[in-house]
Amino acid sequence: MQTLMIAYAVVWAIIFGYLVVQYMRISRLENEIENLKKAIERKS
Amino acid sequence: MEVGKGKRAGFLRQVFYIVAKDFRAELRTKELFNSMFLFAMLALVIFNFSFAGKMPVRVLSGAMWVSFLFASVLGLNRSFVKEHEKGCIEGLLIAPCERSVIYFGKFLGNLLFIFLVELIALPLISIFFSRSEIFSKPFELAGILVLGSFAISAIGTILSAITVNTRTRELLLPILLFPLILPVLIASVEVTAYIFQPKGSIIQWLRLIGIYDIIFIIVPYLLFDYVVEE
Amino acid sequence: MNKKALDIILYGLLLIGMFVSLYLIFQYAPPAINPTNNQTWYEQKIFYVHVSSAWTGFLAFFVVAVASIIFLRNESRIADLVAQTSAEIGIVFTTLTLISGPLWAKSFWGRYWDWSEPRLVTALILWFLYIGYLILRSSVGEDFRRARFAAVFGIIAFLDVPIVFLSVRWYRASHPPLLVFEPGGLDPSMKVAFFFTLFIFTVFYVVLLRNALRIKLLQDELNRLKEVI
Repeated sequence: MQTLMIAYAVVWAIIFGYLVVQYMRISRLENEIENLKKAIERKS
Repeated sequence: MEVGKGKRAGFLRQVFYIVAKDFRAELRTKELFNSMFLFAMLALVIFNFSFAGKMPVRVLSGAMWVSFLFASVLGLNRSFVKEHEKGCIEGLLIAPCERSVIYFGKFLGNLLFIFLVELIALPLISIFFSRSEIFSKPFELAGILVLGSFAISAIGTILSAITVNTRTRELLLPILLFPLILPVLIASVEVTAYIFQPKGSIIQWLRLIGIYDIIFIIVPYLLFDYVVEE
Repeated sequence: MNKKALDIILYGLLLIGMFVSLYLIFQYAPPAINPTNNQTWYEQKIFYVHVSSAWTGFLAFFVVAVASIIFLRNESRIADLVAQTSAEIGIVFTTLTLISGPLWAKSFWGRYWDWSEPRLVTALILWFLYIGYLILRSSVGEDFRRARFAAVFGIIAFLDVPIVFLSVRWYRASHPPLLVFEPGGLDPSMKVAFFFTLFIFTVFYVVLLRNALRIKLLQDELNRLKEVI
């Protein structure tokens, strides 16, 4: 019973952890795009 | 009415031309047919020794169909590869016909090759495995061979048209084909075993192959345009 | 900043939902009794995650087929991206199904696998089909053709699934296994735990798909901007 509970929690933590990683990547990409856009504006 | 009628006859004739073209090309070399036939027979020999010569009906039917399926893969792989190797596919594509004509032509050609291999293999199987039923029920057997090979060829032709454009080519076709063809394989083996040794009922298996044949001749026909368009 | 708000809601829902689901499965729902030996059957708890991941995998492959049809109709890049990411997510959940299923079966049948269990075998075939789908995608170099071939195969593969299921069920009818497992009626509190877990898994799928899609679109945008500079 306890092994099962731990196994469940681990699986779910992995999925949720992956979601967090995804989210960090999204914000990083968004930042990069913002910076690039600003750079382009400054150029023109 | 007359216009429609004319078109239909044209369609069938066009399909026939493609089949005839492939057949003539094959008659010249016979390389494909020979390899398919030898492959099927060798597979049966291997099955025989893997099962120590004691194959009950169900196992023999299974071994037969696995050999035929593997041999079909050889033929299906070649059916578009040879067009690409010699640059004939461009010629086929600019020919003044619908794309589906190419599909049906190739499908019929493949079906014909597979069926011929099976027909010639049958008497030999009867001798090697002492199954006289093959001679006493030739039409039932031919029927199930056509139904099963129909599905293999229908789905295999469109997959072959896809995989010929990939980097892995011959490697990919069986990987895509085998899981798709599984229901037909189960059903064909069941029906073949029933023909050898009637037991239970096979109506549902025949129905399953029938449904499968209908779905997987219509859907590839609808989707084939997307596969060959350049 | 509507996107941000939606992100917070979805992530919050998932984080809380995970714990609620764990509580419902292990505390709220009573342990089942194993009908084969009348003992408390803790392994039955695998059922909640097993069925939920099977359902989510199936949903993902359904989305692949729908996105494939949409792609063939209007050739939109988004539809192709949805098909691809949904297939990837579907593989993950089907893998989870294929791991949890045999563990559950072992506690009931006494063996890990039974070839006459239509749901399990169908899950395996699904797994093969969509691994094939991803291999197909990775072996076509050109973007547009890859999308087309994948869409065609995505539609054919999904149509095959119900026939595979039927064939295995009939196979079982003609070759009966030793023990046929038919899940009996669920206790009401088990139902609550089950449907809640199912719901959370579906949200998992939606968020995974949405994130992956956003990452790919942002990368497109980034590449475009880099070319401008």
